[in-house]
Amino acid sequence: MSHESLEQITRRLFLKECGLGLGSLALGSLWGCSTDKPKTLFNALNPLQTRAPHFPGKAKSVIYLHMAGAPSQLELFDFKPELQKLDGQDCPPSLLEGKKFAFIRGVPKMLGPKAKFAQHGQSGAWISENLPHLSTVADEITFLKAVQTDQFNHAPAQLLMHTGSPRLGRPSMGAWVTYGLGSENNNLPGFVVLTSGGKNPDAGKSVWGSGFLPSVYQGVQCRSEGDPVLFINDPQGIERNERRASIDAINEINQQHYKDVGDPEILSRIAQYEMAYRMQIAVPEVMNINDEPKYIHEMYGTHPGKESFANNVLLARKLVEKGVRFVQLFDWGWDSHGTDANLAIDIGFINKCRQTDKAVTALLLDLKQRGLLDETLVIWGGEFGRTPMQENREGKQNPFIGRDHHTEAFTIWMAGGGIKKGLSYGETDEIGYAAVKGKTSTYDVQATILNQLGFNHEQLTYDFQGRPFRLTDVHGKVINEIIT
Amino acid sequence: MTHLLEFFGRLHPMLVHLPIGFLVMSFILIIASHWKRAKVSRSALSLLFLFSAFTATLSCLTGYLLSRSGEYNEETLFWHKWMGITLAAASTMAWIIIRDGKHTRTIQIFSAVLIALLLFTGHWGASLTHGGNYLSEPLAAINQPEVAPLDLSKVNFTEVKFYPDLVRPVIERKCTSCHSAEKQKGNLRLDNPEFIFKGGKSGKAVVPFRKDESELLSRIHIATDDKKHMPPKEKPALTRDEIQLLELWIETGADVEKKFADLVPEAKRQTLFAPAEEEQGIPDKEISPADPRVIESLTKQEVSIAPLSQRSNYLSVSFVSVPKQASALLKELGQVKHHVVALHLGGSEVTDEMAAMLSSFDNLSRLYLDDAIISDQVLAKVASLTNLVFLNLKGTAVTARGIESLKTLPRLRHLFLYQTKISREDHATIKSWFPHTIVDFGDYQVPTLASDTQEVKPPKR
Repeated sequence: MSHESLEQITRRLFLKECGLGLGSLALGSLWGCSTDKPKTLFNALNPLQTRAPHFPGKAKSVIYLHMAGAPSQLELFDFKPELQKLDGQDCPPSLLEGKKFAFIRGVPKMLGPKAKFAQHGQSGAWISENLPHLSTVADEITFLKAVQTDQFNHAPAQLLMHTGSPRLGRPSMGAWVTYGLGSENNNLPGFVVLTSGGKNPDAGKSVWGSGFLPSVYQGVQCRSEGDPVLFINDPQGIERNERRASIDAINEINQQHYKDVGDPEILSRIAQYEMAYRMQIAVPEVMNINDEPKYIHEMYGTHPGKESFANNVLLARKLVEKGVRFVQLFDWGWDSHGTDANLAIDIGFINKCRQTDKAVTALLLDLKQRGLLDETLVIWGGEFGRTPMQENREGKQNPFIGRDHHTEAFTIWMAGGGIKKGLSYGETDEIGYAAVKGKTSTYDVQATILNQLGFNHEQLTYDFQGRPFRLTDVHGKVINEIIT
Repeated sequence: MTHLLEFFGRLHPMLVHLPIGFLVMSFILIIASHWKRAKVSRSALSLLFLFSAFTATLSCLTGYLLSRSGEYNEETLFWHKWMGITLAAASTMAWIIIRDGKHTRTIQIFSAVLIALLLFTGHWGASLTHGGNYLSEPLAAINQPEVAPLDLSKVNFTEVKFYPDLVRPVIERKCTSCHSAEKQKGNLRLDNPEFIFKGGKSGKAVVPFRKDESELLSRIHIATDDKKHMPPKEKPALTRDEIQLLELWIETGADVEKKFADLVPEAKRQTLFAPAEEEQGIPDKEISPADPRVIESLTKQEVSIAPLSQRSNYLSVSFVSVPKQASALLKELGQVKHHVVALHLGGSEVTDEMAAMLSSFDNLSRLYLDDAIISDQVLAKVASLTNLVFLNLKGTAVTARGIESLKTLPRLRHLFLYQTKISREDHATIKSWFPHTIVDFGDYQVPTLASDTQEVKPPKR
């Protein structure tokens, strides 16, 4: 609107024109008041109290290992010898017509698998030489080899994977789960987030946010270096009992304020103060990996005192052991475009595998020997897959070997938590371009995770803006084939 | 039009009860008047027989329409049909006789014959809808031992034949009561391979090698509340093992003669029929809700306590926030001891006194004592928890002697013994004590490979 036209809108005109608008707004809000009270599991006084799921769940907690940037399934799990035969040839037009890629332009060349594959375990799972440790526990895992998404950029794809929508504003999976089940340990947050790889995921903190759910369900990001939660320690000169007194005073004021205005977020606030007070003791204790014996550090391949994925994986095990409901790990650096050495399939990608392989394998075995694996669902995956074509950014060959973002088929694996062992579900075509059998969507993965925790994904809802919302929106089907 | 006819056909099972009632009523009246217990007017009897004749004829017509669906055993149908027609004709004759005059004797005989006809027609009719052995089944079961459920742990997989020894018993147990010579719901018979491959109204029941095209499997996998789900909701469902067996049979070509071992490689079998892991140990018996005051009080004291699901009253309890207060809290929890099926005492000190209390939690199926401070004596008390399925003793000071007292636990499936005081030499002995239990001593290693710490460097230019 131009300045001149804005000047035409006088106060008088505004009020005159608004008559109907304001009236309808009022009507809408009155209307809203008259309907039934929204159904909610939220209890402001004890928001993380343990709650019963719809049916007895096989899993009690979840560890989600997200490889941010999207690792190449073609160099890890989806073995395609036929693709090798096409290596270096022009991509046939049938694979390009009507398709959109993030960076590929013109006609790219096909790229054969840059890793050697072998079958492992009694299940005969195909795993590449890049994961020598994981290969030894192949029989614990179920691979979903034909997962599909519809977002080819990192942030929306990560949001879709974790919140069920490529746009901002929806609660994340961990938030839904803690909303539904509460948490077993009152001294720790129910949903903890740990990041590594030097960067937060592209989608930012929304990917572990609480959206329209009460904010107490958002993921609490803990740092594996320095203080786990910033400003958690009392400042110098403040004793624990002084802290208690000040929290009591703040809570009292908040209570009064709640009585005046009745906003349930105030009760959330009080609960959070209480939790923070307890967390001051409990969190540094559980987040301290130095107390773990040496052989455990060796097993995971940790780097105490530094930010590392292995440290985070060990922490994830400790947190689950202490009754934390949902632990979300993000490890950045898997976006192997081939634009530089760190993002090359044959250089940086292999280093990422080496940084993570031992820790992930140790996690499965350590959970197993502690009797936790049956009730802990472990998920590994990225936000999408990578193309069977070599990336040619702006139509020119990239300086290193890399693959572009690919939405039509990628691999995710799951273990523990009532998932079958040693299974491979879903298939891609001969060159790993498209899913042909056992196709699953990001919504199906979410529905399955909720199912393992005891939820019908269609019934775990929260009323917001006049309608019930759920994690899987209007989609999702539990992948019954992979459940014990 | 065909739909309309089918609709009328389906009225048959209801209509048939009218002539039954009328004929029985007339028989009672005739007997009563014969013994001079009642005075029955001829016109009343005539009216009863008229209605019998009319409704019996109507039943014949609707019965014919229903029989056209072809879902019925032909031989039984033949007898039912002609008996029914005879019955309708005889009822008409009875009406004519009684209308025409006083043939008291004839009428008495006629009425008795009609009742006999009625019994036979009715019996065959019922055999058609409920199956031929519907009536005798419970009686037959008196002398026969109950069919044991499929127990794969007892099967010798190298010897048995796939179809005759494994698949057929499953089908006989769960399918043939509605799909065999006696009764063919959906025009489907599953009592021998010829019929299995022929299929029914909805298509081929089994297509060898094609799991996704075999109607048998899609009916099993469809949601249980779907009308198409088989076996129907009210009949016993297939177990996980039974489903896997049927899937595997079809996947390997649905052979009807060969041995199991010739069709399925040993390695594949091992990944399929793992020991019954899905057993969660939730009692079948219903229980009334636990006292909400106890739950509220424990929740206030930071205990995690909640029903297993929204439809169950059994409780899952964890002391993970307050391991140090376990002793006092356990006493309070004792008020709802029959409700507790899962109890997390990880990291707590469990005294002998507490263990004695614990042994009265008779429905407990999952007990977490990882890193708890316990002695072997505690295990002696735990041994009385006969419903225990899962026991975690990781990081405790228990010894082989303590574990030995658990041998009597009949349902134990998972036992975790990582970082206990059990010596490596005793591992084999302990495993032999628990043939049906996964005993995990842990101590898994992930060797450090040279490549773990090496970094791939870009080539120098």
